[in-house]
Amino acid sequence: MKKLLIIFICLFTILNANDDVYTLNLYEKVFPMIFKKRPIKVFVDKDTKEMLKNSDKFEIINSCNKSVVLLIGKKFGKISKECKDKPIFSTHYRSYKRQKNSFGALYWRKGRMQFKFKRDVLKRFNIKLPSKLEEYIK
Amino acid sequence: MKVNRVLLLVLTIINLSKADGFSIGNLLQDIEKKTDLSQKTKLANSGVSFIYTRDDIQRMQIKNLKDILKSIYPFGYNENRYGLPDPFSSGTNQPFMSSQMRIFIDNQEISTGLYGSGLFMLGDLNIGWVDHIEIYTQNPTYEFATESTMTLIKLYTKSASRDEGGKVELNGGSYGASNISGYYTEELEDWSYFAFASYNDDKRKKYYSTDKQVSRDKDTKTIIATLNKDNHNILLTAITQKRDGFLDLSLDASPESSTVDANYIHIGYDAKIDNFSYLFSYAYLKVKALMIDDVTPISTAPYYDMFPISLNESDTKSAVFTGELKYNLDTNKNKLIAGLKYRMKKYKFNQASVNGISLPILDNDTQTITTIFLENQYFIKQNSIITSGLQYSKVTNNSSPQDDDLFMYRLGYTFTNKEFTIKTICSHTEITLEPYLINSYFFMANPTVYHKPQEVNTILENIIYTKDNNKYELVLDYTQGNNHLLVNSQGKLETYDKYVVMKGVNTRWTHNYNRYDKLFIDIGYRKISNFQGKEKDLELYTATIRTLNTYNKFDIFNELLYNRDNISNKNFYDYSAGVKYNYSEDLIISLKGTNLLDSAKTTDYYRVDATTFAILPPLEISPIDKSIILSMEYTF
Repeated sequence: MKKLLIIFICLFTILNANDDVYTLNLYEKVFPMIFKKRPIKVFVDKDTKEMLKNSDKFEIINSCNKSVVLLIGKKFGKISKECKDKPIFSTHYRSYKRQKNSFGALYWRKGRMQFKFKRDVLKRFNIKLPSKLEEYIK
Repeated sequence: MKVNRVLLLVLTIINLSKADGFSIGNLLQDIEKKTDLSQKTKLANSGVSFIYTRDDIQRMQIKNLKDILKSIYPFGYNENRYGLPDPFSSGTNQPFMSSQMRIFIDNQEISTGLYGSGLFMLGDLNIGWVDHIEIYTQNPTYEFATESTMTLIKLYTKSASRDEGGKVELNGGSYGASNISGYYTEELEDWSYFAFASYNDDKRKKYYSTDKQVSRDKDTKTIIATLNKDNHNILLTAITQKRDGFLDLSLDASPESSTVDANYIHIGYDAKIDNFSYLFSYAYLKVKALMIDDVTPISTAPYYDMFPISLNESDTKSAVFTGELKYNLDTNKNKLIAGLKYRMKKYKFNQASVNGISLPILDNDTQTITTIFLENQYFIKQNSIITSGLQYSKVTNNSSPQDDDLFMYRLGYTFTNKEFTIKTICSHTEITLEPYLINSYFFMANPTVYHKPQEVNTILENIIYTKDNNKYELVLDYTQGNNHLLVNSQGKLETYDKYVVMKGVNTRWTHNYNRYDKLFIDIGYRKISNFQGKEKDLELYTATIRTLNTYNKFDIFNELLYNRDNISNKNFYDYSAGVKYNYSEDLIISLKGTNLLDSAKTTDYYRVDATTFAILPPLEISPIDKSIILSMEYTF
């Protein structure tokens, strides 16, 4: 009976899960391929914080400092001096277009998931993508 | 020892390849498909549902609702004598018989003051603005509609959070039909908006009745716009339609000319704050109709130049004001929703004349409906749920004895485990007269007497078994209608003194071959006693076979609908097929054929010789034209 309850709760959770479960799955596979440090120290916006808080692959830094490897999100408010030159992974089209440090993004647009990297920004931050991700460089 | 080492090496290689064996493309598709918005909006414990995801709509090239409704039981899609979408119509004079099919855009009902449901405006409208569609049959919930509901159709608009950007689509096809539509959606600082506009020049197949051409062409301009911020939503819908009125009220189904022009606007606001949600909406409809027929009215008694109709003119306007407040409460064992809804319908006949003689202007011009409801899901265990609901509506009509107290209830039980879902639902629905029937000498046999509300009792059993890539479904339903409104030999509605009983069974099988390729089969049988007052039971046989396939850059769709009944004893086949070529992410070219065998189910429209009054063989016309459409979509 206990097993059945667990199965049902799991199913219920999956059915009610928002995009976060699947997005987190992608983040947990992609970012460790790009960044070597474990866990990856990140400074994130509110939505991304909710998604990454239980992941053991990431450590969320609440006050952005030197240890932060990258920023993930669409809105960060005022970014501290120490973080102004950190690479950003955007979760929104406008952030990807406007932020000069945005090296890549995952966002919904035109009814599809858009997953992209900017060649020039990758080069500026000396980020080398594995071959699996090269086709997403624009 | 050597063998063991080799084995270890092989296993290590397999594990390593598995560890890195994911594909980014698959992960992205997981996000797109498994977070499809229909997963979030679908009603649990709601009886039988037909869900069309965004992916289904795109790959099936669904252009309007009739592409879907034609395969929805019990009656599929139908059009009435005016060429208007009206699934419950049976070819008689009534302007709209499907008032209990309630249609929503997001959370707001598209309603009309005179006829109830706005389905006749939206049923054949371009739906390029829709993200996904849910259709629920058998009185699914009291949560949404203010009035009695037998079928709930929910159309969800695209949103800036997923579709930011724009799209333009051009279509051209059979009979010279063409269409241009486009949308743009954007997230602003706090708000987001979606705006869609289209112009449709729907040219359709022409038919001949007594050597005269009858037409269902229409020109439609549509605007659908939403403005959203957190849980606050504003919806604007504006539609103008200029239709050929098809057979209209012509006795021999061959009018000289017939037009129906309609202008519709809906504006509404809904919001959710903590446990409360509320809604205000306003809708306005103006309809102007004109029919000219080359018949000579009889001047002697009892007709006095009123029959047959050589000139029919009407000009009506109506408005609907709706307000509602709902309260949601979730506890460990209960999920409760309670609500209060109020609707006022105002209507006016600016002109209504037959053969140049004005019909008496009726005193009644207002209907109000006040509804209170309570619905609860009680979790006996996490997988064992009792659903119950009660609804009371007070209906008043001014200058009419037709004031009603409508009591409705539903009780259901749902059991689910890993593979099975079993739902049993019983419901009782009461239905009042729509305003266009109140005191109407034109449509009612006894216009000034009180008509008991129509009653519909249903019992539904829905068993779903899911295993691996297969989903099997069995639907058994029993419906009993009391005080049913029946069209009599004079073409007027009167209360039928017998029960109308419908028994049905449907079996459905969905098989997903892989991520892209899908097969769907539905086979159904239905028996209706006392249907339209006939002594012989009506028996309906239906089947649907649908495949969706993707091959490289091509999406391919095939669908065959089969219909047969024991009255006409004819087999009807509606075969549709489509192919989409995804030239790039942004440019798609598609070709779709509908009713390619030109043998889809037809509707019988009665005809009487206007000189001898002898009954002519009915016109048999399908609401689904044989047509081919070529489309081009460009997203930016």
